[in-house]
Amino acid sequence: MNISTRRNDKTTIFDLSGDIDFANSPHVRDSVLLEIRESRASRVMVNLSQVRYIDSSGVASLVEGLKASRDLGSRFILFGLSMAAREVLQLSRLIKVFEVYDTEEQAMAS
Amino acid sequence: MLALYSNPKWLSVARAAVERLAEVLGFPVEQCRSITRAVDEALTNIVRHSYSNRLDQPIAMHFRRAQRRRDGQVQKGLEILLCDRGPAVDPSKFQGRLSKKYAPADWDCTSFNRPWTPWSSLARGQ
Repeated sequence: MNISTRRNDKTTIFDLSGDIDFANSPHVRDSVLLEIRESRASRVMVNLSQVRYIDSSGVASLVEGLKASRDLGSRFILFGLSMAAREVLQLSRLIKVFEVYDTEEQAMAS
Repeated sequence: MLALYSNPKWLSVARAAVERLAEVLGFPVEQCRSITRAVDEALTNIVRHSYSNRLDQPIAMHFRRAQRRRDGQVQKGLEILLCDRGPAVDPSKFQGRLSKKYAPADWDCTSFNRPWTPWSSLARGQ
């Protein structure tokens, strides 16, 4: 699993890749929460296009990111959902909780 | 049979093995992913709840090709048995909760047994 961060004016973008499971979801959670609280970006976007697998603990990390963003008055957006990510979010019925876009361009234009 | 320790770093290895097994047995790609997800979530539950995140506890995964007759047709499937040595709990607390959310739609059942019941015992109905 790899997580990298891009920042521009008012947006922070996380690029996640690989498998997000119980072994590394705490790292995802901590990285996302730290960035959200420190950058105070008005928009936080998570790129899931290269996520090969994500389990319920990974989804829980995203939910925590969403909550932290809302607490700070910023938007939390998912985009480029891989098949694996989309399936799990649909199964858990959390896909409707998130703001989701197909591409980074669509998310940036939103 | 696949034996592993309760360190979460082995989850990816277990997923790879289960997904490949399901592929070799001829399950459609979508079902392979569903089976893998269900087993991964069950293993994670063992690590978290049965072993309280201890890293060095044993988990055994048993796989058996199974078949059943339904509506006059023989249907082939896969039986998966996960065994841990965590403290005993009240099975009634698990009713309807065992990985159901992540199980395939045609997943027959999940069950909770104790004590340690290898296939040889289950096959004899003990």
